[in-house]
Amino acid sequence: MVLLVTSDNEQFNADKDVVERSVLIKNMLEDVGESDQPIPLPNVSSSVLKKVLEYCEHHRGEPLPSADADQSQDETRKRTTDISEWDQKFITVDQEMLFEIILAANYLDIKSLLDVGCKTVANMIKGKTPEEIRKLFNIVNDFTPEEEAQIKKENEWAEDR
Amino acid sequence: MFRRRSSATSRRSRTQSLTPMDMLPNELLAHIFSTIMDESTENPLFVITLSHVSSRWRNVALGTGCLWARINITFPLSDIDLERTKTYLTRSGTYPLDILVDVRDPDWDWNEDAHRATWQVMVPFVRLLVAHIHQWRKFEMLSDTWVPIFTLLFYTKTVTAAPLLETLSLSRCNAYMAARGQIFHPSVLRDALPLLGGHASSTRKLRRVTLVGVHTIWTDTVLRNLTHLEFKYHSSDVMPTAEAFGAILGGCPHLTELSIVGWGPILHREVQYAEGVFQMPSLRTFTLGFVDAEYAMKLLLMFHTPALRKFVLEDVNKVISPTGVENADAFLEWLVARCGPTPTTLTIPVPLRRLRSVELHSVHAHQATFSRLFAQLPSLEQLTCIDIPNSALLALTPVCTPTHLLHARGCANSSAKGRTRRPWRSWFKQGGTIHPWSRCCVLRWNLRGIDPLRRPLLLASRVQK
Repeated sequence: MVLLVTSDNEQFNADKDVVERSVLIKNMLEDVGESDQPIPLPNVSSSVLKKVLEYCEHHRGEPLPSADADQSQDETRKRTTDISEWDQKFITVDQEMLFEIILAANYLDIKSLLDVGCKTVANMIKGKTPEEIRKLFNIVNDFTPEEEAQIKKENEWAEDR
Repeated sequence: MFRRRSSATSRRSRTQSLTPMDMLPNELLAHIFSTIMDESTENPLFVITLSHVSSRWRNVALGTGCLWARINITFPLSDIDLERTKTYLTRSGTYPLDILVDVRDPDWDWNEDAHRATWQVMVPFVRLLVAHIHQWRKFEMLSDTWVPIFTLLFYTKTVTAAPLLETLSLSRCNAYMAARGQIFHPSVLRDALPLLGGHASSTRKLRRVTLVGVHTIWTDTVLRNLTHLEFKYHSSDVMPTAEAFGAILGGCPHLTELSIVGWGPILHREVQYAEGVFQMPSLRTFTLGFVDAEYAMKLLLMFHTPALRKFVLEDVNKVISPTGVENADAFLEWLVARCGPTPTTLTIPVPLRRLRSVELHSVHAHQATFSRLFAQLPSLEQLTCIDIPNSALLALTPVCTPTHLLHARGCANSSAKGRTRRPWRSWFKQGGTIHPWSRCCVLRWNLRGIDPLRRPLLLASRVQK
């Protein structure tokens, strides 16, 4: 078992093969060796770590992506935004939690979870207009007048296409 | 993994609270953008939408070259398209480019003199794209007429390097050019031009080539080391000689997929060509679309395809002229006799008994002929039939249930019921209702798990309209 300590000082015990889905933790365990020392995760809150461990538990035993997976994926251009049914249910959370999970997956280096999070956000964005995207994510339109002029021109590119 | 943003959003007021989206580092935002734009079904123009959301999103989008590396240029071409293409090329930086130029008129205009994709219209686009040929990874051009293709060939005839190019597809989408006796036109532009400089050294990564109605100097060495090659719908007078064709195939020992639709090499009626000269040790999928069955038989005899597992046979006359389907009895009987259980020579053009997958398109023959063909396919696992006559259906033994149906599409309209549908209606009739598949035009069957001895008796077919 491995002991993890979150940013809000909550402790979590988890199986080694579960937490080792995180490349960060896996490397730390390899560096430290057998130890009872807790692993601090100052960038992850307890509510988020709970979700992350749920994901890792579900995907326990699945092959980890190889180091050159990005490269081969890029070469074949087969990336899609499809998400499995379980992952879809898992990631159906409020926006704040969604982005926290993405950040945690990024920090903990769990590529498959990062992909699920990014695909989810991608699917939220697809097919929307700039105004709809702003509204969805509460983004302020902060273009300068010069940028606005360029954007107006660029809008012509997409007309009738 | 990606680093957290070093500072808060650049122009957001410090008094405003951060939104969840603001927490993401720019690298993750770029990753999300890439996830969207990497999908082949996503419109390449959507990246413009992403760059119009906010100043931060625009900076991230403009600074992520791969988002701009898929360029679609579609009919009708205008100055705005040219300006957009320039911008995409600039913003793509050094990323490998996937380019589609589709100048087909939706109104199907094949008039060489009146088509709006003229030389004058094409030149600025082609020159712009050719200036970035060192970045091309995939290039596809679709046109109704010859002029756009000619423009491209003209401006690329002296290129010395397209080092990233993996896929090249040039299609003059006019199937009528392959009609029997049809010669190439416009005759003034008939002279062949080299393809991308003509030398294999300029296209070391090129593996997939599709040439539809596009001829080149066939003795050039650019068509080498390919894994996929398609020759389709050429005029019979601009195809390679048998020797040049053999050199192309011989230069592609790892070719796994080959399509010859319409005409392959020029074969003279009076010449007897050596059998099995086209040795294809790696070929797994072979598509043969014939206009002239006699020519197709002569061509097939030149092949030796020991590794073949999928064979697609199409009567192209149906495409060229809807009423032009030939009777393929003689062809299929020849195929069975030549490639069946007791081949007369050691070279087998199509190893029927080892085929796992067969597709038949518009092949019309008698029931007995189909029966004899299917009797020679004991290893068949998947059968796809498109536009096959009802006579073939009668050769069926209904041991194959709808659960073996893998794929069905192109349902005919419900008013097209009639005598020709009877075999399906009786076959699929379940509990007093006609199964919806009984109106399907295209059927694909999975024959795995069916007694191999009974497989030869199976046939699925399109119901004639």
